[in-house]
Amino acid sequence: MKKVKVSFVINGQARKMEIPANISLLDLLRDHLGLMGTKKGCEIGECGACTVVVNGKAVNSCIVLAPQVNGKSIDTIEGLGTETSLHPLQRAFVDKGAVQCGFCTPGMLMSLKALYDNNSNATHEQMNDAISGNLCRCTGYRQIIEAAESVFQKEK
Amino acid sequence: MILPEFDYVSFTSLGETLDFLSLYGDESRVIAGGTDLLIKLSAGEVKAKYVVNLMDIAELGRIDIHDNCISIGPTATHTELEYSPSLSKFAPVLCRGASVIGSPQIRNQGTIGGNIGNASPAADTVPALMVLNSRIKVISKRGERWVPVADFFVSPHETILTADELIGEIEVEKLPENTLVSFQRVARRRAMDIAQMSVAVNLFMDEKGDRIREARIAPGSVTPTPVRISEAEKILEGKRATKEIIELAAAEVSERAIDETDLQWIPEYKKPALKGLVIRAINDALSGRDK
Repeated sequence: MKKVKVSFVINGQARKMEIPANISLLDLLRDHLGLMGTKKGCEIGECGACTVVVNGKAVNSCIVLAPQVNGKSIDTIEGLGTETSLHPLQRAFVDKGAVQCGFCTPGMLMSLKALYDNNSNATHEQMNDAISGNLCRCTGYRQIIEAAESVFQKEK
Repeated sequence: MILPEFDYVSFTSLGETLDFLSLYGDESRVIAGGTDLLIKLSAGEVKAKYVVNLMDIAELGRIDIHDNCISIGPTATHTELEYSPSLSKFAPVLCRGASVIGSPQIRNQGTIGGNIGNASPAADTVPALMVLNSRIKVISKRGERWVPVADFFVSPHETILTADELIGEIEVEKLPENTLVSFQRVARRRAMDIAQMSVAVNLFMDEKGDRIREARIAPGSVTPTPVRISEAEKILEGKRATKEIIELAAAEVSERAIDETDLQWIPEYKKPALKGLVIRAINDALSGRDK
C-alpha cells in the first residue's frame, strides 16, 4: 500500500505529511498528530463525538477518509480556545454546567462553533439542528442549549 | 476504524479518472463523501484495491441552471442541495428530501451521487428525483448514456452502473414556481434515522387554482426500486382536492406500493401508515396555495 502525500491546515498551522491511505481523519488526528481531544465514539457516523470542522463545515471525522483532507483546513477542539483564554462557547459550557461526563463535549462544541462562525444570530431551532447529530448520553441537552443561547444572544 | 489496505487514487481531471476506471474499474471503488463507503469497507462488505477520489474534480460538484432543467453534479453535498437558490426556486422538493438526511455532519459530507449510487431503497433524495422526472447521465471512457432515474436501479443496493462507469450528472426538471410540493417521512426520530417510509408529492393546479391538473407521487423506502404511483395520480387529476378524493388516492398509493414489494414480512402498520403519510403530504402540498 502506497503512502499518500497530503498537505492541510490544522488549527491554523500548515502541515505536510505522508500518511497511510486507509485511515480515517479521526485516526489521523489522534494517532498521527497526537490530538486526543477529538473523541472516538461509535465510528459509524452516528454519535457525533468525533465532530471536527473542515473548511467551515462540521463533519464526522470517523467517516472521512484522511487522504481526502488534502488541501483543506481542519479545526479541532484543540484550536478552539486555550486554558487561559476559553472560546465564548467553552466559557458558557462551564458557566451553565453543560459538561457532565464530557465525552460528547468536544463534538458538541465543534458543531456549535461551525454554526457560530456561520451565523452568530442563529435561532433556537438552528441551535437544536446544529447539535442534532451529537448524542449526549448524560442527556444534558438543556444545559448545552442554554449555554449556546447565552453566547448567540450576546451577539444580538 | 480498521480499514483494509488499498491504494488511494485522486485526479483533478474527469478524463484521467475515466481512463483509470476503464483499466482498473473492476478493482476500484469510487469515493465521494465516503459516509457509506468507509463503513462498508470497514465491515468487509465491499473490497477495493484502489479507492478513487471524485471530490477534487471541480466539474462534478456544480449545480447549473439551464432554460428547462437544472443539472446537478454528483458530488454536490446534501447541504449544498438544501441551500441551493436554483433548487429552492425550481425544484424545492429536492431541497426538502436532502434536508432530512442524517445529521448536519452527514449532510455536509454526503453527496447526491452517493445517495443514488448506493441504491438504498430508503435514499431520501430518490423519491424527490422521481417527481422531478430526473434523468441520470452515466459516463465512461466509452461515452455517455442518459437514463430516467427509475431505470437506474436494478434491485436494492444494485444499479445499472458497470465497473468503468460513473454518475456524471443528475438532471431535474425546472418546475413552475407555483408548483405545490411536499416531502414527508416516517422515522423513529427526526435526526440521524433512516426513513421507514417517505413520500414526495408535486401538484400542479389549473389556472383557477381549484382543480389538480397534474399530480406526481413517489413513495420511498417501501418498494425495492423507486416507482411513481400513476393509478393514484390519475385519481387526483382533473379533480377538486376534496377529503374523499385525497383519501382515495392515498389508499391507492398504499395498496399499489405494498403490492410492489413482493415480500411476506411487511409489518401490519405499513399500509395504514403509508396511506396516512400520503394524506399528510397532499394536504401539506395544498396548504402552499394559501401562501
